[in-house]
Amino acid sequence: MTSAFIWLRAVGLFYRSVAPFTVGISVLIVGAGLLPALVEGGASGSRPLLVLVKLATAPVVWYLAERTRPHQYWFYLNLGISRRRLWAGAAALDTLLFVALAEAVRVSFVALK
Amino acid sequence: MSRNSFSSVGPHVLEADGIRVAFGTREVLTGVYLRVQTGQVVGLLGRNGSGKSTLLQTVFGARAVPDASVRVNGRRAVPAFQTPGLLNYLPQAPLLPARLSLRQAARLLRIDPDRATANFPELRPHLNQRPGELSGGTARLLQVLLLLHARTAFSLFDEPFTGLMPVHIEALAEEFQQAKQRKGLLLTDHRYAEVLPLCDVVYLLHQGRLHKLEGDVREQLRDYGYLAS
Repeated sequence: MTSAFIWLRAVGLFYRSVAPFTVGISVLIVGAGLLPALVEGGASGSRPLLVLVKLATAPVVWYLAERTRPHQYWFYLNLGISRRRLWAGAAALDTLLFVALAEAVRVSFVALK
Repeated sequence: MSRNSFSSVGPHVLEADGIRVAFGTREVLTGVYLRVQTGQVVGLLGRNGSGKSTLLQTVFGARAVPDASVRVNGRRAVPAFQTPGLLNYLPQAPLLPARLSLRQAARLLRIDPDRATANFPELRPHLNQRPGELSGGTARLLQVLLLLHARTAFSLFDEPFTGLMPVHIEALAEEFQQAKQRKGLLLTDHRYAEVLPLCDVVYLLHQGRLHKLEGDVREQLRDYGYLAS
């Protein structure tokens, strides 16, 4: 296995452990931010703002992960992956999934309208 | 350092010094010098709260300490865990992710689980289970075996014998003796009766300082108040 593959596998594994927090927040932002904008017809151009709001919640996810699973990093450190690289990968993956979720909701809303 | 720096057979020397750690106003580690080399089992003893785990974590690189110097063969390696093939670390807490079977985790860690359990055939069926499905002792033993058989130049163990039954402690001690032929081992555990016969070098962490014990180790441990007189 290459180092890149191990890193990707590790990020995926780590993301699954923080997904309950991140997915919950994503659904909350889409439900409270995007859907009302779509109903009111003012959703165009809201994507950057939503992504910024999503990124602003990262410290909350970090805090919850530290509180609930403080020992989960040892495995990744033994893989040679620092906390910073792990979180960077998870944040990138989470942002991609958030954008995909927002787009899916937007497309579905337009199709149903 | 290159990926192959530690894959070759040959003695390696791991040294750490300049480690100063304080929790609030309490200085936990001061003036520490630690040395481990290939072919050695080095024991680290000390009272509860003396900083043994903190020291291991600092050497591993998980704990950032400004003036800490960790060197391998004289070359700086900070944080050590980022140097491929250099070392691994077993914490007191469970190591492996709950979502992976031990075999899957071993694959990610680039360890052959069947080789690691060659002397423990009764453990083989457990390799396909997740850590949470095993007893604490069995999970602990498998984690120690996996790290012991990893292709790293050094392994650091924080309480490897915790929860193990006597027959497994004896067998594991034999594994340590075999493993030290190809790597350097640093371990801390309060089971001194099992640890002392294993060790080529014994350090005692006392009031923030690391003392290398030579001669009558048990007598010195009594003098420092680690063993009852």
